[in-house]
Amino acid sequence: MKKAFIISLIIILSISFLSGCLDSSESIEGEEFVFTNLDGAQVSLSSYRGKVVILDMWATWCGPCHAVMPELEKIYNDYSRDQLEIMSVDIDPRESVAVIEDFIDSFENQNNIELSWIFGRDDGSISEKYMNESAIPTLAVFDQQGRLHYRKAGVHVYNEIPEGFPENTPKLAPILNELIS
Amino acid sequence: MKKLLTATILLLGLCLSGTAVNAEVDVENVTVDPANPDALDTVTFTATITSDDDIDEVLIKIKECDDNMCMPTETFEMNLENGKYTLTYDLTYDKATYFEYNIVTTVNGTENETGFTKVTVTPVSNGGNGGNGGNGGDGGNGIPGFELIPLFIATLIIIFYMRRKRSR
Repeated sequence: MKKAFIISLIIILSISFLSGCLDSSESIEGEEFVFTNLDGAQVSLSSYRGKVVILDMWATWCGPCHAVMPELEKIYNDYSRDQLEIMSVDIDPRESVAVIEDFIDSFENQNNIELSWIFGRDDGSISEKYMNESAIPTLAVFDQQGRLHYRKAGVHVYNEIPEGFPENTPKLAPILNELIS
Repeated sequence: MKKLLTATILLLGLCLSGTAVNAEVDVENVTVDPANPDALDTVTFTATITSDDDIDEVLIKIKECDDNMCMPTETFEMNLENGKYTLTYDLTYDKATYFEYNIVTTVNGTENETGFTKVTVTPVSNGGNGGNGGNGGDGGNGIPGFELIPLFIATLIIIFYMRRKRSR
């Protein structure tokens, strides 16, 4: 009876240990998503391992998404390309590359800023996986290993709340500072 | 002179064929009832749409937003009733402060899209700007207790082993 108990204990511990190993190897691998950029090339998250990646899910018609763009520009300018990359992925399947490019041109002219990070179109896979509140803008932050560190829908700011924004608008700076020392 | 006449006829033909392909669509008298809805209300869109050619399809695109976020655009086909295209839609976003809609009419395979019209909505909840909603999780696989499966299998193995031992 004692022998049976010891063997049972060994089996339980072995299986638990093995399942633990499997879980940790999965998290080391990190997340993956792929989209097409405005030049027609495929962009994948796994190609940006070693960098923090901000995934911005948006559409040209979305007013609150426009409010996020100048904040993303500040972030893009404050960090080097070795540290951070931004990917703004249009989740509306009806919006063509031409519509997005027109939007970028007019937004840059109106606001005197440059939206020079990666823009692209989602085939539905990114919105399905990461838009947990089914709303845009949704911002997701992936760490250097590609692990999802933060995700939330709604307007975000970088480090200071501009005039006209609610006081409780979430800030991205603390999240980025935590990941990029 | 003959060449000029031929060129003119060709150009005229091209212009006429272009006009025939891009049939004109008139979207008029578009109404929303009620005109000032509350969030989650049922609204009815009505439009008079005419074209020289047969209308293949009339779609309406609706997006609900507040200052903080927008719900993804919903697209519906409008139904022809008594000479007017209508659609009844239940607004879905309880914090919406406005929605925008536009009408897409397809004639001869060509889409004609109106600009977006904004309608102000009174939100149902007046508790702030949409809350903070947490940080949305850590990217797990979303199956709580998944790690208990090995434990369950191990327990079954033990029960099987002990029963076998007793039967000896």
